[in-house]
Amino acid sequence: MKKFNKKNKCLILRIVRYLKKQDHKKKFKQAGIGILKDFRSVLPLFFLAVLIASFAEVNVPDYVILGILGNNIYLSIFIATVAGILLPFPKYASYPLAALLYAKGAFIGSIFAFIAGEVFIGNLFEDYLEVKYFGWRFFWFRLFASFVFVFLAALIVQVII
Amino acid sequence: MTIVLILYKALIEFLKMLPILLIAIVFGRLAESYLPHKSVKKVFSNKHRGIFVASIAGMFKPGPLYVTLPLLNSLKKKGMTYGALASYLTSELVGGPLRFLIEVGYFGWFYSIVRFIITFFMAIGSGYLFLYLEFKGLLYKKLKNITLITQKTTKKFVKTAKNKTFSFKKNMMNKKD
Repeated sequence: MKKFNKKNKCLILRIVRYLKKQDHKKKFKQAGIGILKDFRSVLPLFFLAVLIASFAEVNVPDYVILGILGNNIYLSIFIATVAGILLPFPKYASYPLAALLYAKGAFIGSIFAFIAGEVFIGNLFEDYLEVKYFGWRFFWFRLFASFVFVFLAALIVQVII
Repeated sequence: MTIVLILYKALIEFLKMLPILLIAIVFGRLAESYLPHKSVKKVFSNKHRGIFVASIAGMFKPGPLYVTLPLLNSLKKKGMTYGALASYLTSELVGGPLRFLIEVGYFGWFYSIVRFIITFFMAIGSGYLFLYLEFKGLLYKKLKNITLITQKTTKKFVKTAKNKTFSFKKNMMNKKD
């Protein structure tokens, strides 16, 4: 216990020392530029996604979504994962639609699969960088492994929740 | 009427989620600017600890992925395993602090915590899968080919060198005679 406390104290001291050394003005400026960039890229898309979700909420009847994502758990998780991969939603923009699907009666497992599937091929620039740095082989293996893991995880989420 | 209703609903939803999104972005960027890159490099080069730490780091690392990809590339060159790399990418893409905050707003705490834990195990699983693939040599066939080629060329080089020394010795013997 004493050792653990000593280690923690050391770690905290190290973090404090590290923070003291930093040039806060520069760091805040750097962070500020990033924040502005994120606002510019995320907020309009997020609003667009909310708008699409509201449109779907008003126009798409419940039984359509229940028929696709609320009948067979395995099939609905598979469809949700594929839909998440194929739909051209940017980061965080799939949440309003996912929330709508959940409110209309879709399985929670398929909602998890839909959100997780969105990240497979989300940003072409990031995917390009990944392929460039680590190769096609790594990229395809990772996609396949993620697909399998997401499917299994969605089943677990469904069972737990 | 429906258009007004859609716009009204969209605006309310947007305003409801806006504070969470703003906090998430500000927190993410600030944490990213203070990240110590040197100590990160140290931790990731270990096999099992690398996977474990990468899974946790990916879940807590805020900011976009394209910022970290060059750093990951340099880490990979300095000895980071493919397993740690895969687990980091999985946990950052599927997890991430911003996602957690937004999910709390949409689906509640319980779902967010369950998803957080499951993502962690998913990342560790994919890490070990990639470690196995790396161990089997499935991730870099090209490199294997290169090593085979270099082995063959070195064998040829040794053979020619031996022949040359043998002929040189023979010539010397002939000269002595």
